[in-house]
Amino acid sequence: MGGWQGQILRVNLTRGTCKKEKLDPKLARAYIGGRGLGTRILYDEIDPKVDPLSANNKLILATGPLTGTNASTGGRYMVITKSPLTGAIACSNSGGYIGPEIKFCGYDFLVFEGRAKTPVYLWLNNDKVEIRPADKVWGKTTHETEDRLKAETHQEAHVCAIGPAGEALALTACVMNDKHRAAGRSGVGAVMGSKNLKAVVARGTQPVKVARPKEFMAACLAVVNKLKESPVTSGGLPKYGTPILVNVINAHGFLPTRNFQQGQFEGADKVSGETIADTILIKNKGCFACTIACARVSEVKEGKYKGAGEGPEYESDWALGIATGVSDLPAVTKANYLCNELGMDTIEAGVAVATAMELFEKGHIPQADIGRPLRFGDADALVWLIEEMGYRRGFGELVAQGGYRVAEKYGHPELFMGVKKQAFPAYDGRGAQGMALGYATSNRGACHLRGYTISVEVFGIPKKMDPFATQGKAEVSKLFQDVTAFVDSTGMCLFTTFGIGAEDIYPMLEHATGAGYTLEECLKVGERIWNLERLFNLKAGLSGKDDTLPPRILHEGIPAGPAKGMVGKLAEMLPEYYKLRGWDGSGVPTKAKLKELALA
Amino acid sequence: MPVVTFLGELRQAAGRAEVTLEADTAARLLAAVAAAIGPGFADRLWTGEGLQPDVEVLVNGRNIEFLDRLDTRLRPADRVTIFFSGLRGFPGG
Repeated sequence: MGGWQGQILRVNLTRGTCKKEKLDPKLARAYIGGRGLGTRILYDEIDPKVDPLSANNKLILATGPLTGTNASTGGRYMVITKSPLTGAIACSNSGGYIGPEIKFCGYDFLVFEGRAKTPVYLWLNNDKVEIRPADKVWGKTTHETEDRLKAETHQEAHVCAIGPAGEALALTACVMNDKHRAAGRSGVGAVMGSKNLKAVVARGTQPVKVARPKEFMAACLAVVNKLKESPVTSGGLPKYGTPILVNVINAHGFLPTRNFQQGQFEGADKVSGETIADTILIKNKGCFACTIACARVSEVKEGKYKGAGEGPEYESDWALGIATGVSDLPAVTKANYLCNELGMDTIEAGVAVATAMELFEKGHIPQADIGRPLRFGDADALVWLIEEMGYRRGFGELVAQGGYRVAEKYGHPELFMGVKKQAFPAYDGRGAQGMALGYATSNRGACHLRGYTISVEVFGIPKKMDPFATQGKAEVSKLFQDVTAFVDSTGMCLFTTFGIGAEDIYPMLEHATGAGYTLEECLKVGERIWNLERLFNLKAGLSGKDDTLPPRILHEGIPAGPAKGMVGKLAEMLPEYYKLRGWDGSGVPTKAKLKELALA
Repeated sequence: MPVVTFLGELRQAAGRAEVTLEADTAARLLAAVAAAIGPGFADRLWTGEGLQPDVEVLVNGRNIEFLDRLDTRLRPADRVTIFFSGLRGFPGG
């Protein structure tokens, strides 16, 4: 077989041992890699009821068979674990270069077990492995950590690391790699911190061999050409990046503003992709083998928020700006830089700040608890609080735990905008019913990357569907969820699907692995992964009751604008969704479905 | 008169963020936009037989696909948004 390196590295941090194991080829074929196979390994090896921050949880760094190959955007890796934020399955996906570098060291997966007594980092130098002390970088930002560990190992090494937020077990903590790329969601950085694992540093030179090189290259070139033909992947994304969506979603009236209290933001254009391109954008940038290059290299050249880095992307721009009512682009950008350096998920952090702002404005949080006023639109308060959160200082100690914990602590959990304790991303499901269903049913909690129905509800791809309508949304949600699980498992970036489909990806997978995949089977693998994630969650104690939305989304209409009066019509979609999934009325997969998917 | 807002690449191509033009239907408004900005811009909007498949038109935030398409009636206070989607798949932001 090609694509896979055929090896797992198991690192027991309690004992300080590293063990190389063969990858099971049958399991690899059935789950492909990345999100799929990583979830299977986690499902088989931990008790889903485990305390996520205990030594008994495991942290898996997973690559796909296309990671590190010539496949366009084949540079993804995933961090899979039980989430301390949600108590559910976590799989956070990131680009950059660390995923391919792990492959070049000869590994498909790194499985971390136990907990180190003192801070350590893992140094992968081709096939040599060392667990090294990390005392010198503990407490440092992700950027300082990367610079110091490269100096200590190899300047061409690639690094993923946690920042002070992860060390302090903040539930908003992420794992950053290559300084600016984030495995962001679900608090995976806190799990890494709980293991006293500061970083993974990799430097490898072992190429990823593919089964049929000529056919594989032909399939890769066909994809590159399609991506070049797409106006988005060849023009729109490189030029404006994902923040192009700010004005588009605002015009539709479901851009969640001030903690979802409104559906349009009067300051949207000030933080839009167009304004970013005209003001702070230095250049665009790509990850490993990427022909799209959507990343934003940016700089705020003057003023109190002066700085340089990357971002904001759409979700970060929204969470740190629009959700908090802040239209000061330099402040939003500064908050984004801080999140990257301190190692926090921009979505979770921004929504947590927005939650606290609403609680403060409604008189539920006394100013004395915060130490200063915390009103929507206050740029200084945003930047101040983000830094406090990153170091878990003062009021920031609580807010760093995410919006749910803040709202719950002050007696108003209904003011948290999210699902399964994970914050919503940048689309109000009241205005896009498919997103409402997708958020409610997402296995990792509210998420836009688990079935992006905005594609049909806003962009009409592959067909136009009225965003306000519920009819047909169950079917499209299920399809998109399954396809996404497939793409995530290959090691490709989901953004390729702006220009290509599963029918273009599977030939690359097939020629890389030589495993005999068909398109139909690839989609079936996606469905298998979705159901396996569901089984994990059920065993962890979640149920169909968690497939819901906050009262505001279900019962309060959007107050004004194009989506005025709309609520999330979950009850009209959820029963059909369960039926299409082959689940019973409580959201539990039937025996027949599990048998069909070889999960019984 | 309806206000037309351009987003993304269409804003750059139009050389402005907004234009105000008189028209009573979406079709007439788009023709007026094309005439006002120039032939190159017209080609971005029209195929010769209809709208380019990647051009999305909103009237007060609703896609004309869910109204009366190019026959959608316009009132003087209406806000029209035009953007270039060009999307082929289903990812995220």
